[in-house]
Amino acid sequence: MILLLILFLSFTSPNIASAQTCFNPYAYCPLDGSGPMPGGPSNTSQPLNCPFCGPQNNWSQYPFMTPYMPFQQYTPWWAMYGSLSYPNFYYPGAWNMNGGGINGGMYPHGGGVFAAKPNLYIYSKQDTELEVKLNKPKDASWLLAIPSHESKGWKFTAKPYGKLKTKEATYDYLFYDLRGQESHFQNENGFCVSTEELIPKLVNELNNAGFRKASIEDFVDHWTYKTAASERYCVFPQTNKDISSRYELKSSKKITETVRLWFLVVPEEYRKVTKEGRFKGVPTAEWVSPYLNAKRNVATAKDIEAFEWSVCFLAAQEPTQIKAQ
Amino acid sequence: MILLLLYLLLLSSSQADVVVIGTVTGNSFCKDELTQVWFSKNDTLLYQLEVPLNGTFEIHSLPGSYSIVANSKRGCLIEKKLNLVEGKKQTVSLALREPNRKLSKKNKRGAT
Repeated sequence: MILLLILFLSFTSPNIASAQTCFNPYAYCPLDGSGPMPGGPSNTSQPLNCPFCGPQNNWSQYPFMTPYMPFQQYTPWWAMYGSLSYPNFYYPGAWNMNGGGINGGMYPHGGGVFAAKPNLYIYSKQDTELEVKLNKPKDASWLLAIPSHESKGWKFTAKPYGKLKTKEATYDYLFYDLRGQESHFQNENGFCVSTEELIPKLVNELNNAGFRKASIEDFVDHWTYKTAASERYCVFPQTNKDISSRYELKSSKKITETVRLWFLVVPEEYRKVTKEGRFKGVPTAEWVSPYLNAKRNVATAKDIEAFEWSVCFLAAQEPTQIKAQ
Repeated sequence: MILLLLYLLLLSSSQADVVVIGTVTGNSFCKDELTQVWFSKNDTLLYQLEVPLNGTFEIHSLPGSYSIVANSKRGCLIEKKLNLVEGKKQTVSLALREPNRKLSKKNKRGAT
């Protein structure tokens, strides 16, 4: 019976995929299976992630069709629920296929860059009570925080091995989403990579910067599924010196070492349609990680270390700019 | 007068965000350490959050109607509809419910 079911699914799944209909004429999925829509990836005969297609479209992608699957070791349990429930599951948020970026109109106002999921890991070798607060510029907006941050910030006990205990629960990391201005981020140093190279390259940079194994696994788990599909990406890494002057982490106790590494990822589709903005071009200088040869002292019992990664995306360009192309 | 009207129009078009403060809880069955929270509008996923059981979260959104779902690896799930009103902070408590595993009497098949 089970074998019959498997056989049935293996024969029907491709048919389900090819019979999909795109509800949005600008979406990249082919309407008749003959090829991609203008502006979409050109080397595929399969529908890629289509935020405007019905959730059932994602049957064709689950679990073996995501671009980075060879790198992924296993499938997180939430990927099945997400891919079957939300058409834009494989994107970092509401996505505007016209402009290759986040659909900014669906979020609170605040600028053209979405810093998605900065995960802040705090390590202490002994129980340490801490208050950490993020100060953001006035022209940036909060989108999310876990645990809730509000105006007071986060108050917790940093336990050994990276656990953060509040009075309600224990967290593996502090989490937030922000929306900031393009001018807050550097646009000169970076690198451009293909789809297959993106996640391994970012993971390599996290390794070079000294991120712990568990935090890198969190990165891979999430961004394997949530990076918008594109043929190619340009990445503008943002480090302590780029981030901390505007997005300052204030702590009640001295943090001995802070490593912040945000990757501003620009899909090729964005650059095809944009005519304005600080990130319309490719990086002008090859990025060399400042963390690569940084000398680190062995942490003592009193030391507190903070490591934070994020992937940032740009808001999509206005439809008028697309039409002008 | 026209300038005043334009100014008022500009003010009305830039909606202030609404803050939602939430918690996720579970019963003796729904005791997974981590849960996923899905915040969407018309099936478009806006935010996906990983929240530990009994943990808190803070969502900033525009006014309007939204769906919020919390679920866990064991199949526990809760869905709520949120109507966010400008200028009002809202709280939401998501108490996970265990999946309904029992078949109704009508659907139970007798032994053969």
